[in-house]
Amino acid sequence: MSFRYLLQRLGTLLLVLFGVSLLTFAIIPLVPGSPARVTLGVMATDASVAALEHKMGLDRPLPVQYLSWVSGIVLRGDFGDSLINGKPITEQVRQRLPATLVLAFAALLIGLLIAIPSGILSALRPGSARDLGVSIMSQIGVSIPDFWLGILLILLFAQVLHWLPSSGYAPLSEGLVPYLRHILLPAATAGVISGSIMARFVRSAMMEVLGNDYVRTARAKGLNERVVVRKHVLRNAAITIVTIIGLQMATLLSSVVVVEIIFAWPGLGSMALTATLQRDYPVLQASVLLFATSFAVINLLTDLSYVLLDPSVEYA
Amino acid sequence: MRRLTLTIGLLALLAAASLGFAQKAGGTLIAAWAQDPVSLDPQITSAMSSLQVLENVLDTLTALDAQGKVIPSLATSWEVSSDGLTWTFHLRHDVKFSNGRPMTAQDVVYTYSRMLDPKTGSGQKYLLGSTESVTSTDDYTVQFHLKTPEVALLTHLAVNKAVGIIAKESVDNGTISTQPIGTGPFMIADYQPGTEVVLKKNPYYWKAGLPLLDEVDIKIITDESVRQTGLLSGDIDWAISVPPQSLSQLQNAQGVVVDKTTAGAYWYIGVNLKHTPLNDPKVREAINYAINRKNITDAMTFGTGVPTQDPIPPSSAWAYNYAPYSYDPTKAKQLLAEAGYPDGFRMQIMPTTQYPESIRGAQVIQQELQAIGIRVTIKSLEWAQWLQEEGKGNYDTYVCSWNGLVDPYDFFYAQHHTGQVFNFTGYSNPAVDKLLDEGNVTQDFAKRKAIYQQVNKMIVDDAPYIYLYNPANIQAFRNYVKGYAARPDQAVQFVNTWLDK
Amino acid sequence: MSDAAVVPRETIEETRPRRSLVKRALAHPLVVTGSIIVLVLALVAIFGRWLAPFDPTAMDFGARFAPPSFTHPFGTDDFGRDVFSRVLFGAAVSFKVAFIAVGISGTVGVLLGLVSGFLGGWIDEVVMRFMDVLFAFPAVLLAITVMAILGRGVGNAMVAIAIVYIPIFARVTRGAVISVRGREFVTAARALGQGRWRIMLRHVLPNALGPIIVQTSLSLAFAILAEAALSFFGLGTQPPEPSWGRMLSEGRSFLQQAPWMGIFPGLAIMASVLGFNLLGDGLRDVLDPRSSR
Repeated sequence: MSFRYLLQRLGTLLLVLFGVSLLTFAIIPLVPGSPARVTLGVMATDASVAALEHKMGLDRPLPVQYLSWVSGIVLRGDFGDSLINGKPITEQVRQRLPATLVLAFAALLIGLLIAIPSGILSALRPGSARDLGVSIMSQIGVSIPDFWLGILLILLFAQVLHWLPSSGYAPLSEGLVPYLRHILLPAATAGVISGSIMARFVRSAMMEVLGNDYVRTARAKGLNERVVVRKHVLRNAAITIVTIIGLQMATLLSSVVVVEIIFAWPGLGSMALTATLQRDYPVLQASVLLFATSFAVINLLTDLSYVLLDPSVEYA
Repeated sequence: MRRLTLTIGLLALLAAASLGFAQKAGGTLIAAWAQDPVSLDPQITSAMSSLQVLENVLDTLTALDAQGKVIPSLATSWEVSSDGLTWTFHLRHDVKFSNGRPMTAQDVVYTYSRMLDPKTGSGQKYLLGSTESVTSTDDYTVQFHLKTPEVALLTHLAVNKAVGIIAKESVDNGTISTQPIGTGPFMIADYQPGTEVVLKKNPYYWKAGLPLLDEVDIKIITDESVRQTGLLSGDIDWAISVPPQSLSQLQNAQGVVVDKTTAGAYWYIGVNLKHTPLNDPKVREAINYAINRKNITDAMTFGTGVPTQDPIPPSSAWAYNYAPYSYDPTKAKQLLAEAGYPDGFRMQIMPTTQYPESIRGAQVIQQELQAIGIRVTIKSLEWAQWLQEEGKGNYDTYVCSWNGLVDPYDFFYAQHHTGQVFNFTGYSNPAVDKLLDEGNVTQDFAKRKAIYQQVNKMIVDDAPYIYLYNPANIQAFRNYVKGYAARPDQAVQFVNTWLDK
Repeated sequence: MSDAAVVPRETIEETRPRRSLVKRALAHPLVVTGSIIVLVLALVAIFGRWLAPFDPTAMDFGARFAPPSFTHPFGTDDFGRDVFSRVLFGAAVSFKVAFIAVGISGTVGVLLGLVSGFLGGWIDEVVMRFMDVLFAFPAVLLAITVMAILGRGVGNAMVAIAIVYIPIFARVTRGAVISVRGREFVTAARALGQGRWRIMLRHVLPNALGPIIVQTSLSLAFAILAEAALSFFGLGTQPPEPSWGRMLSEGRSFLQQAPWMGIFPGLAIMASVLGFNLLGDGLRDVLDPRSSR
């Protein structure tokens, strides 16, 4: 892979992030309502709203606000303070980012636990009842709304069976068991859906490899089916599967936003929603920028890994 | 000069009465809040969720007992000049902030000067009424200088912790909106927006032996069913509100106490008197006859609210219980015809997603008004936008509530006096204005009550507000939580609370 | 693919033979199943108002939270409204929003992708970078922000959803356009001196249609999900209009007392999404057999 290609991709990434930051700023004057009004609530008078907006710095020209915001991030890694609760946003991000990442990885894990076995099983017997079953399940899994699945899981496991907490988060400091109990339902919600999508990719990746000459040769040599699958098929399908994982991380992240809101999971997604509703612009901008960055970085890494794993892919 | 005093002895007696059984000190109370505090700066926020946290962190000059009567707090006694323009408060000498610094008259002056300063942008400034300045005469005496007499000031200096005394330090170092320093029983140890607020015992608290708890962990749990299951499983000890639709389930649950009291609050339909045909009193009267308050209350509160036609709840000493209307669609239709709208008209109703019950109510109102020919469109807005539209008068009707009301002044003045800041309906009635001004300078209870009854009647008849119901304040906790009671003013006070386990 | 085996198709005839495509589509189980589901729901969406046994907004305070019964097959909600009638009416809302939103984003996205892919150069660069910016927003957040700007309502929900899916259409179209723009019939048209727009619309677009049709069906599935999600978060349609998403969010508070309030609208959403997904997957097999999904 050429160094120039990498530089070019990084340049595009920065350009896109710059665009995202501009766009999040450009929408501010379009959104009705102001954080000052939200804070003051029904007690707001025009004079107090104006005074508070002045204190929040919202009466400065937009370009000035933008420059001070961007320079804070670039020079000091500082996202500014929340307009509503006055807390430094960087501190909130430090606490919430791990929660989002843990949820995303747990969901990915559950997704892979579903996708890999079912994808392999159905690829080995294409057209069988097993294959059909997997494919029906995965179609349903892809079509189920994440927020509805979340509700159904809460209804069943929290409200009827009382096995798991219906939402919220327990820090690791409260012990491993409460931690895992809290993460299970939200991770399963996002995981089942992404697992269903991935199962189809795993299946087709396997099918492609199974159709290759060396697999036929291996089988013709009378090798044990188990050995063929393990030694030849899985190893070669792995490349595609890694790429799929990368692509899935991006989809998964947007699913995680919804799941966080449903399960009151204290991550970046629920922070972004609250910020939107409260018009807490710096918090919204910070979370959008972080999501966009992770999207872009994941996409880049996926592309790069694809190039690395499969030399036949051209990268010009 | 009239001197109001309540001796320290009586206070001690009250304290002793509440200390009458074997209390256990120590422990952590896990309390569930329904909403994230919106800023903890008492003078800026208007969110109940913030003020209910601050209830345990700040003290006020005077306080309200559970019946809404004014009692001493940071001030031991007070007097008002004969012209009603100067209020003098005598402060306790033994009060310290939670950082150990003694509190003096200077802090009181600082607190209220900040509130009065337009640069602060306090929306709560109206609580100080016509106060022009606050000064100190010595370290333990402060004076409020008013432009016009204001009887309600005494209640307003106690009504909630928006008027609590704050330490200048927390403003200077910029932590006022996350960690305000006060003289209350607890101090804010940590605040994680959207997650939790941790309150720790204030070691310098001036009431001997209190608070009993070491710590209160306030968890922010927005989902009502989660609060409910947490309470049932014992993961949380105390919940600020419970879903009214599952009240009976909680009441029947083992180990859970449900404490319910009518709140000093009301839900209503606000009518824009600048829009035709709503500016016609006959039309508003028709709406009053067309709505079925029982159904609306059922839909909005599942039977926990009390349908009403006037604002003050029956439990208050100021209650009037004026109810001239009945559910009578035929009469409503006839009134509409008299007003010149036999076929009805079109109008909008504006609830907000912030309060899902307002959307439920709007749907019932829509159905009921449709029956008399008024075709209602629902325009539900998110809170930020709703506030803006209400403030600008961009609505026909809206559904909302007033909360934490104690003095009769609170129920009428800011909402209905001509030109007042919260008079969003555009209501203006010189007779009402005159009575409201009079009520504000009348000290005698019976005379004052008579004045507000007249106001009450006029407002209900003129109907800038169409009153719906008085909500209940419902809190639930595990049975080992002692020394806590739900209050009509919706204040949440853990100062006497202890855990019997 | 027997017809393509003899002579490379595009050298003689630029558009694919239609009849055999239709035949193959009708023989494809996914297409058939998907079409049946979509057709049934579309009929419900069109004729639901005559099929519904009750007025979907009529309240009956004597029959709140009634479980499913013969009179109320899906039970009643917290106002005593008939959930079955509301689900039937909700189909119209969902389909209307989905079709119009996809119509908007399809038109805009396809045009952008077409221009971008065909002309290339700096236009391509600018358009696609802008699409990258839009695409970098998490879909839910983007839609919620657009709704915050525009305010609640069916029309605004359509616009919000359309904006979210424009980049996807643009990318898909651009990819398909690039793969056909070098073919002989395009070069031939250029040589004949035909205008750019004429070439794009007459020659390039029809041959790039396969992936766009597939994407349309899949986007309809997503749009139904998106409308439901917006309404679920309180940002979609205004009450009392029966939208599936809002019925779900209303039902959420009463999961224990009245699970039917949340289950039936959810099933309706899932069925529609499933229908469009199956149709889209099947069409992909038929129109674009070489793409591995």
